[in-house]
Amino acid sequence: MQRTYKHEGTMVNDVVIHPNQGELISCDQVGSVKIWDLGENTCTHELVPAEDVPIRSVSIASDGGTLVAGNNHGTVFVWRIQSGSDTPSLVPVTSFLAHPKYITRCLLSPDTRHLATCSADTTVKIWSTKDYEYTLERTLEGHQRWVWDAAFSADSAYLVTASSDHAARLWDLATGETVRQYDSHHRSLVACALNDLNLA
Amino acid sequence: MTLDGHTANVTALQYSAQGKWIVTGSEDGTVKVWDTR
Repeated sequence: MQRTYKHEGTMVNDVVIHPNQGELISCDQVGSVKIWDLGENTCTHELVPAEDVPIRSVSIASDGGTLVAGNNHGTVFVWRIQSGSDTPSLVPVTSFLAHPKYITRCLLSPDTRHLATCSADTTVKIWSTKDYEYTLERTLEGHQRWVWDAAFSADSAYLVTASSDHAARLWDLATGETVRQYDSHHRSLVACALNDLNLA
Repeated sequence: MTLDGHTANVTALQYSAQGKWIVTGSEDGTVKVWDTR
């Protein structure tokens, strides 16, 4: 084990790697988002958009330009990441109420054009990131219990989701329809991943 | 490979782009970077 970074006195809920491979972004149970510089071995930014409201998930765009976080009030926060002279700066762009219950996962699509938010309200919502307006494009309805995780296909056209209802679903994002259900589990599904990058 | 060090539930994990290291988050309040080699 090489490094340890601390969120003092609380629990870390999520961590993602910046596409530049030089920074980490983590979030915690007291509502903080921390940016860690792996070269300087230090925390370079702390963002607290809503104090004491747990943030369960953070997502960074594949081009490194946008950071998104979702919290237990169902609020999404968006920051633009601007490469400054030495350290990048994080400019708050927007925040909006996405769901009436916990956001369990927020995920930007590989092509950065959409944001998926998964929730305890059993839905997944797909938002357009165009012009930072975050307009709601689709609500994916069908899961019967909390949705815990999602994964985009490499072409950003499909989403796989995992739910406490014992099923995973494959959604066609052009129509919002479930095209496959994977339901032979006997317990809640809490994580999913998709490998579709090397189909020859 | 077993990565020992966290003292509570691991809540998040991601591989680096080339798979040479992993970052994890935990309810023990830490973010850890691990060498996979």
